[in-house]
Amino acid sequence: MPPDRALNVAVLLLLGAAVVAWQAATLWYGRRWASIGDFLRFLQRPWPLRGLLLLGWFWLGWHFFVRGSW
Amino acid sequence: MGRTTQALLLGLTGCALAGGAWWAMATEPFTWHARIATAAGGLVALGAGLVWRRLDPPTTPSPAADRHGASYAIWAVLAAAVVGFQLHMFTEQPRQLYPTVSSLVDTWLQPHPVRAAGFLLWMALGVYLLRR
Repeated sequence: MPPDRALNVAVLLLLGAAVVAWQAATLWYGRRWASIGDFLRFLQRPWPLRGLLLLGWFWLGWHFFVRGSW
Repeated sequence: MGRTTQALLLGLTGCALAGGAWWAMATEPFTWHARIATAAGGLVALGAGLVWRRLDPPTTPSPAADRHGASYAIWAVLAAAVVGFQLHMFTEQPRQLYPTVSSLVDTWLQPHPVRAAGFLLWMALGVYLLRR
């Protein structure tokens, strides 16, 4: 990516919007498409993936709340 | 257990959690206090998720859940795109031109009440993940 802050932020926002839009579409169409909750449940079926997801969750908390931003 | 007792217990738990999050986020970053407070919050969330799971076991996925291959693939592509782009930004410098999600939300997370609310949200996500 070019060294352009506005462009990079725009890509991040676009990706976030795509996630939100797809989630909204899955909820709108009922059970025809899997929502993010269904996807998480699917990922958690094998225990190693469940462990990885929990590790990712723990890292997220550590990253934001131990490191801090003051 | 009566409804009043249940409401009282729920209220007390909510107050305790809010107080705990407020205290945890008052700790100085990169100190043992911050590490212990965050780890304790995580352990409380995991414990609550396990207890909830035992009291109300998750239902077995319906056969319909296995017919979602296409939408699982779309979710996987979206997740890979988000993680890939975030990693790309992380490896580039300077951060001003290549912002990561955390560098963008750091400013919003600075006020103490927002940090405490974020901490509670993180705990709730842990309960959700373990409860399912």
